[in-house]
Formats: sequence, C-alpha cells, structure tokens
Amino acid sequence: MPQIALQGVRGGVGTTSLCAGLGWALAALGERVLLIDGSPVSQLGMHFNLPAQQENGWMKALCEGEAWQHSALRYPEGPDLLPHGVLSHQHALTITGQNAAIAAPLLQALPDLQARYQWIIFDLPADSLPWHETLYPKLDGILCVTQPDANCHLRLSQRRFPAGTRFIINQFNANSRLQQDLHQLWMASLTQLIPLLIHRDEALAEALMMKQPVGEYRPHALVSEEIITLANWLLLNLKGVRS
Amino acid sequence: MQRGWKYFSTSFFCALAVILSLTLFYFWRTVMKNQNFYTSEAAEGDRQDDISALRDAFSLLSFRYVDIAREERLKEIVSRWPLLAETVLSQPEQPL
Repeated sequence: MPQIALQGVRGGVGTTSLCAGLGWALAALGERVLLIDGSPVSQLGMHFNLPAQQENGWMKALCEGEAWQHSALRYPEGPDLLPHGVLSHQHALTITGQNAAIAAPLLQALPDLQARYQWIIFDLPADSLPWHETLYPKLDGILCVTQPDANCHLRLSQRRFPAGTRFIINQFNANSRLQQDLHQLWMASLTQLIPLLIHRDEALAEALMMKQPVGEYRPHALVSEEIITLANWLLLNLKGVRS
Repeated sequence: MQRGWKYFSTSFFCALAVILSLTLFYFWRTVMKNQNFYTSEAAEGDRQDDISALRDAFSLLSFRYVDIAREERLKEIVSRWPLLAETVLSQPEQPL
C-alpha cells in the first residue's frame, strides 16, 4: 500500500491545500487514507475543520513524551488525520536541530498503519528537517509540487531530489506566456513530471478559508476534477509499487 | 376516441425515443471521458506523446524520431528568456 509524501519545491506552491484535496479525493474513490501533517506550521488540520487555535498534534505529543496516537482524528466521509501540533520555541529548535530520532515512534509504527490504510500521505514543508532523512527511504514516492515560475525553475535546476521523486504542476495559469513556456520546457526536460496539470483556481484558495478540502467545498470546480484525475493517476501508477 | 389514443401513443413513443437517445448520449460521453483518462497513463516514466505511444505499441525500440517542430519551439522558448539559457545547460540529470 503506497506511502507517499507531498513536498513543495518551495513554500507557497499550494502543497498543503493539494494534500488535503488529494486525501479527500482518494477517500471519495473508496480508499482508506491517513494524512500526516509534517509541517510545523500545522495548517493541514484547518482544511478539515479543526479549530484555528488547536495546538495538539503528533509531533507536539512526541516532544512532550506523550503518545502520538491520541492526536489522531477522523473526518466524516474523508481521510483520517494526524495534525502536526504547534510547537513551543524550545521544541521547534529540537526538531530543526540534529534530533532526527524525534519522529521515530511514528515512523516505527508505519508498517502497522500500512495494514490499516491503503494510502499514507505526508505533507512535508519545503525546507527539509533532519527527521525527513529517516522518512525518505520508507516512502514509495515523493510528489514534488511546483509552479511554473522563475523561482521554481531555478530550484529545480539547482537542487538534487531523492530517488522516486515525481513532479506535479500546481496553480497553472493558462493565460501566462511564461507559464506555457515553462510547462513545455519541463515536459521535455523534467523526467518524472506527472503528465497532468492542476490549474490556478479560486476555489482552492477559498477552501482553506472555508476550512474544507476543495473537493468537498466545490466538488464541480475545475481544480476538484483535476485533483480527482491526479488521485486516479496515482491509483493506476503507484498502487502496488511495493507488493 | 381512437384518434386521441393514436396521438397519445405517437407522442408517448416520441418521448420514449428522446429519453433513450439522451441516456445513450450520456453513456457514450462517460465512456469517451474514461477513454481519454486512461490514455494519459500510457507510457509511465517516458515522454507521453503520440509518437512514444506508437513506438511502444509496435515495439519500435530502434525507431529514431526527431520532432523538429518541437525542437524549434523549445529553442525559441530558451532564447526568449535569458534565465532559461543559463539554467538549461547547467540542469543536472534528474534521478529516475
């Protein structure tokens, strides 16, 4: 059963919104999905109607020596969710420091979780944290979320990506000459670019304000249909990778 | 009475035909939609265009094909934006 991560090539490309939408879409297609928020900003839960002031989460629990399982939540007709939790300044320093073992209890439980869920999806921040290094080898694939602009293009050409990374274009604006050009260039030069586009759509921007995944908030918006297509693409291309 | 019945049955069959054709059209559209969808995953990990699909379908592994129009288009794109001219040359190989 696939275990994947969504990670933006930089912040602000819509990774968390896409992650919430994808989790919802896979659940709508009948899959059992667990979303794990790996970002210290801890915003994934807001897409599933968690209170904005909610501070609990799996990472916060681990930092405080408590059981991470207690932070798990179930969204009706949607995916299950592990929010990250808002960390104190001291704990934030712990996870950005060399303490890669901080996430170990959750990572060790992944084989058990795999027996319960068909999809485990991590939402990771663009800047890698030490505990990600122990996570990467356990993943069946990383979806690197990009947007066709100069900033992302530079990062794509400068950085090396872990093996098994696939790229997905988000927030595509068909009216932009620059975006059209970059899309064509990437199609020709970027191996492992998923041959789908997620267009820039106001519905995706509004979804977080409405505290819902976009597929639930606007099921017939272009972006919702495109995320369903992405979910189907993943089902066809990633399901059963490990078996 | 007979005449009324005739009109009724004609209009009934007309309505039935319209409903049937609408249903058929709906199914056809759904099937077409799915076909479009499934073709997008044709060649995983490879460039996904018609030529690649043909090459795979007929096992033309040694078939050399250069899409000149595409090459020209890419050249134009790279020359249009100065930043691209610098980065395309230095682009590292993406791992598979």
